[in-house]
Order: sequence, then C-alpha cells, then structure tokens
Amino acid sequence: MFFILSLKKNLKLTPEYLGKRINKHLANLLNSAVEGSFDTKFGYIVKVLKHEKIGEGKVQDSSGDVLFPLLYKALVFMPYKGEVVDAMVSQVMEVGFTATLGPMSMFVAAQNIAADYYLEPEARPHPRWVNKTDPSKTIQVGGDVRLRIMSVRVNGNEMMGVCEMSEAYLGPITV
Amino acid sequence: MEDRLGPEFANAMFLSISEVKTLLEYFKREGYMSASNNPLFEQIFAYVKRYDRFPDIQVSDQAKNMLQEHHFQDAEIAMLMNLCPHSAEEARSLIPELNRIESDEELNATLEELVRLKNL
Repeated sequence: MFFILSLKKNLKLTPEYLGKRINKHLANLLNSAVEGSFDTKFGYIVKVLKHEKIGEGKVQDSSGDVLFPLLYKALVFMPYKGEVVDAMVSQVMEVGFTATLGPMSMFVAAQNIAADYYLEPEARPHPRWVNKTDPSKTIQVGGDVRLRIMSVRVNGNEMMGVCEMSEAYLGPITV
Repeated sequence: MEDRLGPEFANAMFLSISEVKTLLEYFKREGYMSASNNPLFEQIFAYVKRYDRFPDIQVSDQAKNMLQEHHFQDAEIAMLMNLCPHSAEEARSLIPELNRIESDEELNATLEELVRLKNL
C-alpha cells in the first residue's frame, strides 16, 4: 500500500553552510538523505512531497556542527501482512515462483500455490505452473499474478515478501 | 490493518495506485528525475503504470468520489481501486475489512459502478 506519512529526520550541518541559503541547503540534504531509502518502520521512502518545518538547530559540543530536526511529508510504499497485491512473475522453479513488486521480490512456495496447479518443467522458454481445470491460467515469467502477503522479511536494505496463492480469487490476472 | 503497521501510520493518508501514478507523472514532468539519483522512483513508477486500473485521472477521481459518497473508509477505497473486484464475494475475500458491510446487494451495486468506470 502507498501512504503519505509525516516523518521526522535530524540532519547535521557543518558550520560552512550556516548562511543565507541554509533552508535550501537543508531541503536538498533531506531529499538526498531519505529519497530512495528504506526503513523497517516506514517502508520505502519514494519521494519527499513537502518540507513542513525546520526546527531549532542545536550546536553540537566539540564539533561546531549544528543538528536540525526536520518535519516533512513523504510518499512511502509499505507492504503489510495480509495485504493482497498484484505482481509480475520473474522466475518459475520447482519449489514455487518469484514475482516482482516495484523494489520488492515476492516468493510463493509450491505448497502455497493452489492445489489445482501443476508444474510444467519442460515448458519453453521457461518452466511454468498450469491450472488443471483451466489450462489458459498459467503462472509464467512476465505474467501478472494476484497474491496475498503472508509475511515481510527485512534483509539489509531490502524487503522480501513471502506470499500465498492458494485462496479463491488469487492467481493469474490480466491487466 | 493499522495494528499491522506501526503507530507512525495512525494519521497516514492512503493513496491508490492510480493516485500514485498521477503524482509521480507530475514529478517526472517537473524534471525531478533529471536532478536525482533515485532508482526506487523508477521501480515504483513502472509498477504503478502497469497496475493502474483506470484510463485516466478524471475517471479515477470519479471512482474515488463515488466510493466516498458510499461511505467507504480511506483504506477500503484505496484497496478497492487497486484490486477492482467484480463481486461482493470476491471483494470480501480479498479485503476482509469489507465484511462490516452487511448487504451484498449494496456492495455489488458499488462494484458494478467501479468496474464500469474502470472499463471506460
């Protein structure tokens, strides 16, 4: 899900920037510090939308650097447990398949694929999962699928979703 | 669903894929990308372009207004617009929050209108 969140960030300025253009400088610094970043609590910060407030700076002992608290609004992408999402199939294997959702990789294990799908390992150019009753329904590389997120794992600077595709109304979709 | 997200999300605003697409297109037009090095922006932009269900922003605004008039909550509106379910049963299965709505008929009528807008 996408959200607009109010967030806070402390930024440290070295003394040479304490001039007339300080606000502009802080704004640029904020954008480059947070845009494109990932936080386990807020998810992916896609874009800063608005600088709301620059708080009072505090001079740091010993260095002369000044720490400013900044309040801002940002567009964030944060997947959560139980959410139903659409994603693009990226790899099909015997143990299941993976799909891509923006910056995230989603994994669906074979046991979490509805029982009426079977693997066609010899299919070309890639193996695929095919529905027994309706063979037009396939999970293949480049196709779109609807999944439910079972859990989200954080791995360094990335998030990985573990998903299922076993309930009704989940599975291949056309977009 | 707020309990599945942190307290930071208590006052968060929900955006549908369609709205995110409009927002990112605006930043693209304003030349934002030429000045930044943000691969996440491109990944999200590609995602929302692929999965936006509505033909343009006017229609997606119309869908949002219609859902607001029917008193859906913000989270439900974003999810309905993202997933565009065709029936009450499908909607309840994908978005369990909708089980608070008792009448299938009422829900079906709303979904029919949503699908009509999507297919414009």
